[in-house]
Amino acid sequence: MKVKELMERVGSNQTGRAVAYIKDGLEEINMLTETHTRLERFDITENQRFYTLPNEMVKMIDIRVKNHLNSKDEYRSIPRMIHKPVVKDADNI
Amino acid sequence: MATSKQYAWYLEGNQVAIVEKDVSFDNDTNSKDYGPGASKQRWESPQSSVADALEVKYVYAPNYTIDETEDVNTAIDTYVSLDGLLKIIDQGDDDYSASPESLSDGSHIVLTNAGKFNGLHKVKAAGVGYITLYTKISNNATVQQSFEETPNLYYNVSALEDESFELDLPLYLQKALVYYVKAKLAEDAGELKLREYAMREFKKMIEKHENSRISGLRITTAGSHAIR
Repeated sequence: MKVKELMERVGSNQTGRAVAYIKDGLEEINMLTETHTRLERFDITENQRFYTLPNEMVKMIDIRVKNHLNSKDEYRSIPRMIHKPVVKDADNI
Repeated sequence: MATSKQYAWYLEGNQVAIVEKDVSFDNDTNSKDYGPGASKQRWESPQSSVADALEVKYVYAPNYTIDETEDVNTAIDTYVSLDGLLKIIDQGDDDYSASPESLSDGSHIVLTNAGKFNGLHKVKAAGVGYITLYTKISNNATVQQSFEETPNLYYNVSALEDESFELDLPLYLQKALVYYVKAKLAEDAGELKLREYAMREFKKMIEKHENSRISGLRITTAGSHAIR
């Protein structure tokens, strides 16, 4: 379906407003159900704790790390901590 | 052979914090924890550097389509801030205003493998060895920062900005999207009953779409720590 057809279905002739709401709707749909996923890989750097997430991310599905609880170079999901660790990151990097 | 490690994560704003369990023995006679079998076991920042070790799988909104995936450039390597806008630089000095990229003010590109810059960007200017984007950034203007990986720059893309854009959604969800837009327009007009009706239909269709992918029974069982 093209944006034009959607506008006809909702009875609108204001393209800017329709496009803005369609963008909101696409985000909302992907919050509730997953239509488009992407896998991003980062290097893990010694003593670097924080890694910036992609700005286009609507919802995170999984975080996996190489060699987590295995020595076969497999990527496995890692658990989320309920409490932050006692040892703080001194340089906040 | 790689050694087994143990990681965990937590969120800190728009960043994910990765911690690794440090299990190195620490029988220090001066420590109050000293004793037979005493060990150090605590979560700390990663203990070693590992290339491509962290995988983040996420969902994004399809407000663009990559028309031809082979139209990709992988020569971009660094970025700076130019008056608060993201300027991506190619040390190899490709001309991005010429064919095949042919970028100019108003063109769109999609970056992948570019960490936090993944996604759709609008071009402000392009030339030999650089592309300036309308994307805001807070960064140094003189010191070039390298991308962690080699970014893929797709230059043959369509962005959702006018009536000709073809929605890249399953057919059933396209109909749900119609209800969403109806609900928002009704909200603007102050017709709250219509808004509630359209939003309810939208959510019902999303739920039906979800269920349509799973056949048979859905069984939930109590967890191992549930009260019995």
